[in-house]
Amino acid sequence: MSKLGNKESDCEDSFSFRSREMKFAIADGVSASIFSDVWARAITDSTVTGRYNFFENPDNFLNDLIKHAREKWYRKIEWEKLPWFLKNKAVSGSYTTLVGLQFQKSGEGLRYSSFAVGDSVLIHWEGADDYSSYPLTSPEQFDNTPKLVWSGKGHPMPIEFKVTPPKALTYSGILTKNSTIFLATDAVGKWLLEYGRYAEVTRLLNSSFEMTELFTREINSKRMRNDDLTLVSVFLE
Amino acid sequence: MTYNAEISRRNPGLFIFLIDQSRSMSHKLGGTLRSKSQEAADAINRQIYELIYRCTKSDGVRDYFDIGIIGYGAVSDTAQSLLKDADLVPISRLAETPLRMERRKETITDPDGNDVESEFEFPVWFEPVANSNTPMVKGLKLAQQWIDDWIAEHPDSYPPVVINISDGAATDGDPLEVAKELIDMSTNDGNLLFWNCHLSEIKDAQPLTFPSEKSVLPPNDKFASQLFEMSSVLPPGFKRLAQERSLDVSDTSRAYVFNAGLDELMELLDIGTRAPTENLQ
Repeated sequence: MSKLGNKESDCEDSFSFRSREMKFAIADGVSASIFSDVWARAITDSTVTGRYNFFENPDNFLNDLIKHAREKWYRKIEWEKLPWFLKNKAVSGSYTTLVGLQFQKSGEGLRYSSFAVGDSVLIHWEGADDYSSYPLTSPEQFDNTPKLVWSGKGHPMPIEFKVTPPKALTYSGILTKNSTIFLATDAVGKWLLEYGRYAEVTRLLNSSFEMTELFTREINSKRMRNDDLTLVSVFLE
Repeated sequence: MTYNAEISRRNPGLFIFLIDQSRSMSHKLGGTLRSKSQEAADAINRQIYELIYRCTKSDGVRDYFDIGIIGYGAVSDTAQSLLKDADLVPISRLAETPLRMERRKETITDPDGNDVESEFEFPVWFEPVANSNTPMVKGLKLAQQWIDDWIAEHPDSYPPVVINISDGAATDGDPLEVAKELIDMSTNDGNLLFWNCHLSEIKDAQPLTFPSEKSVLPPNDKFASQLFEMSSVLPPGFKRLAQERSLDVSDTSRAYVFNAGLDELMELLDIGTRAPTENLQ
């Protein structure tokens, strides 16, 4: 959902998945830059559609992933038609966080491997207070200066623009029948780590109305930061 | 807590820039080759550009601020809005209606790490003028009228920020009284913030940025003392920004720069406008 007070279309988070390849990606476009929604969408799409193996070191594919995402981002923006204020800001490029997650079948359940840049998080919840999270492990670690994935400069720089990929952190584990993986952008991720309301959130998964009501209440009571919110849950049936 | 209100489209902030357009503004600014009026006009045009930049999102410029620009002294004993057919305008309107566009150059680093020169369009909202006397009191009173109406419409907004740039004493009375009335104006988030920048034309003048006491100002300069008294005490958020730039500030520092050259003018404008934009939602 969008930050309270904004339109749904203002949301700069993105989520993509490919069920056949069992790949998932979330991204939180940075609102200080513009066209971050376009960039977040391009990066999650490229993450799940590219032929990347997340079980490998992300240094092997991040360069190519960003190159493809940049092409999508660059082509989506009608540079020549932009008024001066958009043109002058868009040249600085866009920024986003990213978490990519891939599963493989394994005897005990699903083996997974994930990579992340920034403060969007993966939380592996195994019931009650039993959870692990990465790349951040506690609510205190969320700050306003996370590492980010940059699109590279916009027009008049050409579409071919070398971007140095950021260093991604990796995490792996096994998803079993009694556990859930949450992918969350920073505000909702921090809230989950702080208040541990995994069971309540899991119960509301099928009702976006009730979930929106819960998040709205939490924002209004200042327990959750007012921000774009994306929460994805993956579990075995 | 004051100066804590979120600045949003529902609760916008307000900036008013007051510019001295008296004849003496045609003299060169200390340490530069251009006149005080040219440097002041350029600095404010750049500051408005920066504000628009910070308010620009993918869907356009969001109206997080209303802006007013008052010039005094272009015509004898007259203060007036420098925006065409308007006094206070939402910032998106300024973005759409510059007076003219200039082509400027900037350096961008290309994919191979080389610095390349690139052109971009820079908007100009008002031109430098240096013409007559210094009716500062009339300028302040005009700002007061606008702010009175604005506060009635925005009682919960971040308090208005007024920035006055001048090089000399008022010729239409004592501005201290109306300045104090201005500083007494408030929203529920705190008192109006009044910033003053005294431009210098003395080459080797020692500028004083955000002085804490009147005693550090030249004892015989009545105008310096007056502008000090007219200026707000720096609130903590602004003080922090000043400290980040290694400026010597204390709890009693005033939002005032004495004998400012171009660097001090830019610093004052940047700190004066940056702290509120940290409250953007």
